[in-house]
This record gives sequence, structure tokens and C-alpha cells, in this order.
Amino acid sequence: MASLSSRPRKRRGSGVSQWELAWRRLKMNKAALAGLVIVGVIGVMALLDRLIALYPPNCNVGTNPNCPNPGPKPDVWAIGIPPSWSFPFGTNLAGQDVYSQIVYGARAAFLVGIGATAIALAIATLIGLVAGYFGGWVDNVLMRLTEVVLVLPFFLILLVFLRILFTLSPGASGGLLVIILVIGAFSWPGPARIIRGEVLRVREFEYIVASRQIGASGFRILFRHLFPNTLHIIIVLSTLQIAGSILTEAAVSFLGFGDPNSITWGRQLADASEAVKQAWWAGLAPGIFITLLVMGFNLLGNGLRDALDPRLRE
Amino acid sequence: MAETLLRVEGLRTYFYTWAGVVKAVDGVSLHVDKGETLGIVGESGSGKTVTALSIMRIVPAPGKIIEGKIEFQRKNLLAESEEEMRKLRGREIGYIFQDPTSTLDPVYTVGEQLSEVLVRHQNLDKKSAMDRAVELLRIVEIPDPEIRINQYPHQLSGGTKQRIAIARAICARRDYSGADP
Amino acid sequence: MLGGRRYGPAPSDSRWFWVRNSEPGVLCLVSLVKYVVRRSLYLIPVFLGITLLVFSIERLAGDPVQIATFGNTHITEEQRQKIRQYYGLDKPVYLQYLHWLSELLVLNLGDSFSGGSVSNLVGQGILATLELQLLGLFLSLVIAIPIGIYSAKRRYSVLDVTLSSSALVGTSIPISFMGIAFILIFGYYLNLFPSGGAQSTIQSQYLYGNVFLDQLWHLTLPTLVYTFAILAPIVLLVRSSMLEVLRQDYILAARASGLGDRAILYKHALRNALIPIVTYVGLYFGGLLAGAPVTETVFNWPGVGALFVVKTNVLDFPVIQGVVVLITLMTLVANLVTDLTYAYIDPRIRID
Repeated sequence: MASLSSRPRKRRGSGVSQWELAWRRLKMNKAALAGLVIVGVIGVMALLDRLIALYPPNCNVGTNPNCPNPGPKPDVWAIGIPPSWSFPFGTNLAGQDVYSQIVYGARAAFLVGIGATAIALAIATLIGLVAGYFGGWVDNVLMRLTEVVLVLPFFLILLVFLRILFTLSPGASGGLLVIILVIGAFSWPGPARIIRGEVLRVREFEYIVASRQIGASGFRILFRHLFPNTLHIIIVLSTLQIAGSILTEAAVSFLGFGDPNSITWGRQLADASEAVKQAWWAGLAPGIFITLLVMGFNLLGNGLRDALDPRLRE
Repeated sequence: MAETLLRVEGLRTYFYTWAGVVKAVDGVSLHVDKGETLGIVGESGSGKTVTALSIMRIVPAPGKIIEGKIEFQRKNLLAESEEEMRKLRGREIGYIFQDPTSTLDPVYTVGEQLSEVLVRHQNLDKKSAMDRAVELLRIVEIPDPEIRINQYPHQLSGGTKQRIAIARAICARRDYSGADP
Repeated sequence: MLGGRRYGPAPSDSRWFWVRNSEPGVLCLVSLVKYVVRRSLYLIPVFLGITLLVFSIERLAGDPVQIATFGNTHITEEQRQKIRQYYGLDKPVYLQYLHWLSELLVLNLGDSFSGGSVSNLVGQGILATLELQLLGLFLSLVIAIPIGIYSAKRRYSVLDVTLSSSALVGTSIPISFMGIAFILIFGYYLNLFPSGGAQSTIQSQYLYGNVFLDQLWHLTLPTLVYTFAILAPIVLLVRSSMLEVLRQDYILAARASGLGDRAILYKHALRNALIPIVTYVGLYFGGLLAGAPVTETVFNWPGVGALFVVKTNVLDFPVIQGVVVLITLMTLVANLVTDLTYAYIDPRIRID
């Protein structure tokens, strides 16, 4: 007698978790995949920096004969020369290999992007959840605070802060940390409001009301129910915030308020802009890379938003 | 023998989504005679709404009517031009949505939304259309129609909204006399 | 047109203080005025909070004179003390704050560390900044809204994909990069436009000998760059908002009623879809004065943004304080106006 289970059958009722569903939807979104690829490639570049760069960081290959040179040796005075085999993106006017500088700058871009976002979204999530769930005077106070910070001109305050901090400790290392902290410290109000809005929406869901009635404590509900349900919005906000933070750092560095000791694309753009007529390729590379990375995170963020949208659940 | 108002044969409407082809309506045939009310029963997701939308040819993208024949007033609706269909919709064929909360545009008053249908189909001017709209509200038994006519959808209860949806669906009928209590 | 309307329940994240308006048909002008007055009153503590915040941020860093003359070896401590006395910086901190605040209330923004009143400096830059910003906003809206509508209507068509991708690039590209690229290409290589400034310095260089045309000529590139930077996010916003609205039941219901495509699109869809745009424009107006420090710096445009950058670099605190406070005030007012506009265009929002 043939066995009933001779043919493997799908277990009835085996559902797919919402994350798997979202991942599948994301995979079908070509733009989002492109974004993921871009971020991934540049991320790998950032991780392997010393391995794939041609020259040491900040090494003025063209002028400094003592610059330890693991790569092919240039045989001419290599300041501000256009792209060639020894220098894939050319050299800038300080004699640095643009390609290598770009590779080193990738790390700063990710550090600033992810670091500032981590800080900003951590604060935003906390405030959003607490304000949205507890309501009442807690909500009032927190929203008032949010408005005060939100109303301040973000970019201008950033400039002031950075200038003060860098003036007080000019030569110190950790300038990048300062930038990360400052951007993070002022970027949280927008996301906080959105997260709070989402909490307000989710909190009326039946199972949450039911948990309350069973007598679950506030904090338990907060962490076990509300937080996972706002996670999708937090993820999307985070990716978009990363994109924004990278652009902010670029703008800030361009104006000269960034960290003079770190290698960042923003600073490379700023340096190159002073001598753009003689060596425009030195500005093209950082500009393109900033655009690419920001675009990558934007595509990813939009794709995640579509994939995680709770209203589109089949 | 009763006259057949609507006859649908072999209707197929497929949705071409990113996840593949969804065969919402796959070979549906039905007919409705004059004076008859046809009820279509099915689980949610079985294609009832899509069938109705297909008859009116307002299936939203990515849906497409693949094949079939829809006979109405001695025309094959699937062969008619969009302009012809527009004349039929709202006038000869009406549709009332299941969910009353979202079936009305939130930024316009009830009166504005009713009268725009009347203006479109019966070529009335705004004032007469508004008057007729008030009449219509009275017919669907909405109390205080003069007040309601200037209210916005969010100010009304679900039941009232549903009645307004009904009013909107029947208001432009060619054989509608308008004096019917 | 605001009179005689009754308002329904407000959405969950509306403003949180309430004005009772239970009488049907009562002139809502009264509640409108009450609302404005309440919001303005509430502006005061927020404003005070801001001034306090800004002030403390600066003073946190220490003595302003010390910082401003940091590393300057030529100034003796005596001179520093004199400067402090002149600017009243030798008094205790809270007195300084109160003094500054009282001056603010009579609209005196104080004097810059490099001489000249702050109000003057800002006043000189305002016109240039407003030119750029208002023109940029106007052009952006005029171009972006039709593009967004078209993109939503013909979703996934070749043109839509092109436009949306370009818009995406526009939101991702650093303005400094775009600005410099434009200057290089159009200003330097093609020599079509000047590379900076608001006006030619020598009269003989005026375009066609006309001052006005010369200014327009100088205005072109910065406006081009700035407009593109603003319109990109607007295109994406309009597109997504339209798509969202077009999904709604009432649009399908309108089609089922036999309404024409154009009527549905412009009358119903657009009206609903533009509501988020109002937020965007409202925010834009709030940051109007300082919205373009990078663009102004790249193009040497003599606006308030560029002024702020320069003065912040030398830590000229009176100017910093003045500009920040001014802009914050504008943002608060812009928020109020935006909320009122919302209440006007969206009947679901109650003026509470």
C-alpha cells in the first residue's frame, strides 16, 4: 500500500513571516536591489580600504619622494595630472592619488552616516515610543521639546557647534566623532514625530488594547508590541537618515567646518573646488561617489518602505 | 419571457502583478433579467468585486480583461470605446462600494459630489443640480437634507454615507423621474 | 469662506490644544482668531526657549572674546578686557542674556564683533537671498508638479522612469558638486554665464550695458542649480502623493460615476494629493532666510546664508545669535501659517 506521505506535502498553515514576505517584495524591486548593490560595493570598499588603495592615506605621491609607495612608482612630477594607469582617477593638486583618497574616504562616509543615524534614531525611537504610548503630559512635554529643536535651523546650528568645538580643540583626533555626535544630536526631532505618529496609529490595534485589558504593564506593551510594530518605519527612516547625514557632512566639510584631520569625501570636494580649473577630476570623483552612496541609501530606503508597508500586506 | 438586461459570458480578468499573474476572474458567466436581482456570493478574494468592475470596465491596473463577452443594451461592452463607456457609467450602470467610509472624496461636500454627477450626465447647471441633490437625499431618507448637503463626508455616519453612495449611483438614471417619495 | 462650516474629529496628530466650537453655524472667524492668538501666545515660551538655547550653546564654549581671538597673538589681555567691556561681556552670564533679550524685544540685534549693526548686515543680504529662494521655489513648483502628476499617471513608463531617476539623482547630489560643475561647464568652458557674484564689478562689463540684465545674467546659474535641487524632492513627493491618492476608493467611485478622466485627475486627485506639498512649502518658507548657505557660498552670492557662513567662521557671536533667532522666528510664523492653511484646505482638520 502506498504511503500517504509518498509525496512531500506543504504543511498546511505554514505561514511566511512578515520579514520573509518583505524580503521577497524587496527582491522584486530592481531599484532597491540596485541601491543595495551600490551600498554593498562601497561598503566593501570601505572595509578593505588599505587593501585596495594604491597609495597610503594622504600621501602626496607627486611631491614627496619619501612617501612609502607600495604601488607603481610614478616617474614624473605627479601633481594634478589627469587619470592614467598609475593613478586611475588622477592626482589632485597636493599630489595625492585621488583613487586612494576616495577609498579611504568611504570609511568616513559610512561612519558618519551610520553613526549619526544610530544616535538620532535611538533618541527618536525612545522619545517617539514614550510620547506616543503614554500620552498626556508626557506627550506634551516631549513634543514641546521636539518642536523647540525642530524649529531651530538645523544646518546653521550645526555650523556653529562644529566651529566652536573645533576651535577649542584644533589638533585633536576624533574630529569625525564630533561630527557624528553633532549631526546625531540635532537630527532626531523629525523621525521622533513620525515614530510617535505611527505609535498612535498602532496603539489602537485590538491586540494591544487587549493586552492592556489583560493587565500587561506599560513597559511590556511598549517593548513587546509597540516597538516591533514600529520597526518597519524605524528601518526606513534610518536608511533615509543615513543618506541625509552623508550629504550633511559633505556640505559641512565643503564650507570648511568639517574635521581637518579626517579623510572625507566632503573635504576632498572642498579642496578640489579651489583648484577645479586645473584638476577637475579631483572633484569629480568625490562628487560622484557621494551621489552614488546617497542614491544607494535612498533607493534602499524607498524600496524598504514599499516592501515593509503594512497596508500592502497580501 | 423576461428580457435579459445583462449577459456575461466567459469573462476572464487577470492581474499582472510583480508576484505573477493573478487570475481574479477566470471564466465567469452570468445574466440578469429585467426586474431580477442577482446576488453573487463568494469568499472574500474570490473575485466578486473584480467581476463587477470588469463589467463597468474600470478594473484598476495591473488588471486587464483578457477575454469574454458582456452584452448590455444590445452592445458588447468590451468592444465599446472609453467615451461610450463613460456615458454608461453612472447613468445606465451604477456601482456602490462595499466600504462607505472611503467612497466619498473627503475634501468636497456631499452636495458638490452629487451635483457633479448630475451635471455630467444630465447637463444641469450647478443650482438645479444642487436642488436635485437635496431631493435625492430626501429620497434615500436622510433627515435634514438641506443641512447635510453642505457637510463633508467625515462629518457623517457610515450609514448616511452609504445612502449618499446609493443616491449617487442612481441619480443620473435616464428614466429617473425625481418626484418619487 | 471659512464661516459656516462645521468641523469634524481631528486626525490623531493634530495640534493639541482645543477651542470649543459647539455651536453650529457660528462664525468660525471667532475660533480662528482665538486659535491664532493662542498659538502666538504659545510662541512666546518656545521663542524664549530658543533664545536661551542659542545663547547657552555659545556661552558654553566659554568666553566669546577669547574664542573669537583664539590664537591671535597680537591681542593683549588688556585689549580683550576692553572688548569685553564694550560688548558687555564682563557682566555675569544671566545679565548678558537678559540684556540681549531685552534688546531683541525692541528689535535691536546688536552689533557685530567686526563693527556694523547686525540688522544692517542681515538687511543687506536679505534681498539677494529672497531673490534666489523665491524664484527657486516658484520655478520648482511650476515644473515639479506637472512632472509629478505625469509620472504618477504613466507609472513605470519610460518617461516616468527617466524623470523619477533624475529626480532621485537630484536629491542625492551634493549642491556644492552640482554648483561647481555648472560653473565649470557653463561659466568657464562654455563661457555663457559669470562664475559668481550678483553683479559685475565694473560697469563696462554689464551685460548689454544694462544693470538689470546684468543682475539677471548673474542670477541664472545659481537659480538653475538651486531650483534643480529643490524640485527633485518635490517631483518625488508629488508623484508618491498622487499614486497614494489614485489608489483610493473615491477615485474609483468617481470613475464608476462616469466622470471624465480630466475631472477626476485635477478635481479630485490633485486636490487631495497637494496636501502634503503644503507641508513641504510651509517648511521651506520657514527656512527661507538661511536655506542656501552652500549655494550662496559656491556662487559668491551675497545673501544671508553666505553671511552666516563667513561670520560663523570667525565666531562673530552677535551675528550668529541674531540670524538664528530671526530664522527661528520666521520658522515659527511659517508653521502657524501652514497650520492655518491646512485647516483651510482640508475640511477634516479642525481649528482647535
